[in-house]
Amino acid sequence: MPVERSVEAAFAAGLLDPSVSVPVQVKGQTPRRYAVYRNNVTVGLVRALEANFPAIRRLLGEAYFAGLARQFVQDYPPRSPLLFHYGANFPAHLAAQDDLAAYPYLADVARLEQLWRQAYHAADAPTLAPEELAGLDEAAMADLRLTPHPAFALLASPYAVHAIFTANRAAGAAVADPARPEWVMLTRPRFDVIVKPIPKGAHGFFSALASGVTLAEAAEQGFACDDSFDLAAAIRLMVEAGAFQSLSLRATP
Amino acid sequence: MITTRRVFSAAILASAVTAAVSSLSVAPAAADDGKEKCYGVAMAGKNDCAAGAGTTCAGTSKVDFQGNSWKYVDKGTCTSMMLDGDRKGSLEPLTRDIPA
Repeated sequence: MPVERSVEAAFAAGLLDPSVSVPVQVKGQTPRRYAVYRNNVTVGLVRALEANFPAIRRLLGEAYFAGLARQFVQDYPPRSPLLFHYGANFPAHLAAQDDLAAYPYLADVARLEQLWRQAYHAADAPTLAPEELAGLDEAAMADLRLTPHPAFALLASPYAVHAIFTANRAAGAAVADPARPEWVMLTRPRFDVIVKPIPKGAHGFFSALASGVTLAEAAEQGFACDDSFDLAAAIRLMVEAGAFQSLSLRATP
Repeated sequence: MITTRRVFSAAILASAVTAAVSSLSVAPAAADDGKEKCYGVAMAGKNDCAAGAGTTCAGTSKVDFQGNSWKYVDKGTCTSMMLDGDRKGSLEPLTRDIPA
């Protein structure tokens, strides 16, 4: 290893771990100087989590969130310099906290915040226009498949994640009944991420369509999830929200 | 377990698609949030683009009306905005007011 790299590695090794002694290369200096770097790295990453999970921060309170985030930063240092992606393991970290067992919805709310950021940073792409569907022959319907838009995502939760997310991304009131299931769709047809609660059957239908099956197979999936599935309403919903970017007519994927 | 398998004929699918898109006579509203990127109108440090940690583009413009920084504005208002020194907003990046 070149000298510079070994110095760098030794310097980095102790930044997130207070039990590691000050690297020998900076021993000539006072250890307090190294502590400045330790503090900056930890505070910077905690700030990143605060920016990435504003609803969780509001739900937990600043002090509790900061303590939890400091622990997370040590356990899961970022693997990418793109800090807007940081926190993929944060929902699981929340779910693993015994102290938070009374708030089982937190992990799914954190998942929704993570999906929101992914949708925001997804590639721009055109969305499927209503005319493209309207122009199809009846005979073509059987082989119709759709390609999801890059920003499209779904989340199913046994908790009212959409209501809790919406209330806590702004200064909303507490959600009275968190223990009801919700199904959520995220899209970003242009600049703004749209986070929309959708019916259970529509969730099954979109999730099947996004996996590449035909419209007929996806419709079956929608009814399998929910007897009262409304196919026309779901198609309208996905076109309006920009869930898919293009269609193809292939017998096999 | 007995599962009831519904088979969707092309006719059923076609009528659902027709019902769905006929109620969308105009371009989908959600695809147009009434905003557009407008270049050259933001005051220093007030340009848009905030989403998550480490996104360094928001609030980074160094001078007022920096030509390559943009702000979301209500659609249709960008190029008609009155700015200091006879400047106009633009839907494309501009070369004026670029810091050295």
